Amino acid sequence: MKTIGEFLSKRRELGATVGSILLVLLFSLGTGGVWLSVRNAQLLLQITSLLGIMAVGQTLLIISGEFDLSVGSVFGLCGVTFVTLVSQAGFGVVPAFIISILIALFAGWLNGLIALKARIPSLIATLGGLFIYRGLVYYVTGGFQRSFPREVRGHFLIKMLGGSFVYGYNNSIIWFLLITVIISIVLAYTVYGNRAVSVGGDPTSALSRGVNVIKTKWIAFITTSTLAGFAGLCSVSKLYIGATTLGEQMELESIASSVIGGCALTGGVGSIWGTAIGAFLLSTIRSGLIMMGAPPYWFVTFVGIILIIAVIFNASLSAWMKRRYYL
Amino acid sequence: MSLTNDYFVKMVGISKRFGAIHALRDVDFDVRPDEVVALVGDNGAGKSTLVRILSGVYAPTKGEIFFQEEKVNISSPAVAEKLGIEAVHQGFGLVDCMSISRNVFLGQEPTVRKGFFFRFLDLNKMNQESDRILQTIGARSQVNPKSEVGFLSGGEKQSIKIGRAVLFNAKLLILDEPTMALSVRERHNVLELVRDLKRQGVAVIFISHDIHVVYDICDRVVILEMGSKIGDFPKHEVSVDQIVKIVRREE
Repeated sequence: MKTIGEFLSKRRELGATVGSILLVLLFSLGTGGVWLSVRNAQLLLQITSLLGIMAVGQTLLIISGEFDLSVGSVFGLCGVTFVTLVSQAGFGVVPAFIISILIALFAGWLNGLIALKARIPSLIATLGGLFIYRGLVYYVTGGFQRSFPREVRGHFLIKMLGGSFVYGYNNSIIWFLLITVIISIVLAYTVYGNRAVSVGGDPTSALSRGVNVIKTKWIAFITTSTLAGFAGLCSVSKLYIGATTLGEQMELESIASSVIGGCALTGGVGSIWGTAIGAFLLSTIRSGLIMMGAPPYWFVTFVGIILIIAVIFNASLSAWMKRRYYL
Repeated sequence: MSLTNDYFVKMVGISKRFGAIHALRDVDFDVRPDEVVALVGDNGAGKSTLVRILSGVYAPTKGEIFFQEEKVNISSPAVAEKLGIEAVHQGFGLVDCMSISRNVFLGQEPTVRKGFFFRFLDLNKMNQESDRILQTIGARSQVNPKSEVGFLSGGEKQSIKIGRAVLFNAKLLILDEPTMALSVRERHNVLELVRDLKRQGVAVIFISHDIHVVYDICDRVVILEMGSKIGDFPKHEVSVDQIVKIVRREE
């Protein structure tokens, strides 16, 4: 018989969900209800979405046993390339979009090549990427902030990526939900998903069953990087500007979202929905702290604390589950 | 050594080096249809290396493999699978964090078409077939196809790996120390399973460093030592004690 306790304990999202509810309560009370306003919810969801699109990709990669530290820089590089191609090089919006997405795709392919073919641990391979792509951001922008010329700001594609079709709610929220649904379906109900979990959980066993470990992980690398680039494009389409700091630190926030959402860094275990809630939780902390009047730099400290609490919570939850449900 | 042509799989002159280590030196090995071959030898004799070459996990440094008269290049486990060679390895083969049914079909997942061009896992079929395996191997009632493999006992894991091989119509089953670290009852169950398979006409290579475990069920005994073959006898020609003496080099 399934009890509620058994059901809940098997959900990796439990910790992130409980944490989010507590924080929402805390900030609502702490700001005297202002935090609960519609305007704040719109802003919060938009920040969540950009981080979330990246984090959902990161989770797919972590589940398949690797991770990508270069996503923040890819986010930045794609964003500034999109803006610069349109504003400085006179490209149309659509070709600039395609080139920018291809850059993200290529970055993911390259990460995979270095990590999987040259067998450099993905921590090192993508740490290299973090610096390389950030350096390219400076090259592309020349160190300046670039912005979309006024006449292209109404372009349909830019509206699609960063405008609002539903009044006040940024379209990136729709993209985020769509991507979350798609990736979670892929992971749970497709052949690729089954193999992605297996190569993260136990690559030797997966290989012995005829799974192409390198190909499976490579696809995850490319997906992650492409999603990060896409999120970067959504970001600049909303703000109309691309700065050199675009996407800085987001690689760590995306990994933190995954871990808070129930991912094990050892691979094979994780939850896409948990990650989405994890991204929401981090964004909540950011906006909540600011609204409660705390200096913004406390954000990183808070993220660190929450991250450690989350890991301890998730670890003790699985230990408890093992004791209780060991067959 | 068999010089007739009725072999099922034949490995000729197999050598394997891992850097400076010579794991196998010029080994000939064959299996005939519906025969249980015991592959015995001390730790480090090269038993696992030999079958991992046969199942596509390692590539041989030198040597050839013939499968039903035809020369084959078993470059990956997927190729071995296609030929009908299923291996149950020591210590791996199941992913702990996945359910039984997902493990059973890993690498050969059945799919159903939903909508115009999307293909999804056929979870119903996976669960039903896995349930059949669980019934065949006599798993405990609380174990079901959705149970996570990490929560199972060692004997259940081995039985599922063997059951899976049968499901995929293995013609040759390779068992690498399948009874190691099992309880007496679990070991009995696994050996019963192997007997069943033999009756169904599946050829079996059974690796063990303990001849007592396999002597009962095998038809032929092959002995490896330090990467070379030092004995190959039909069972009726040797006793357990003689084999033990050869392995210990007391002859």
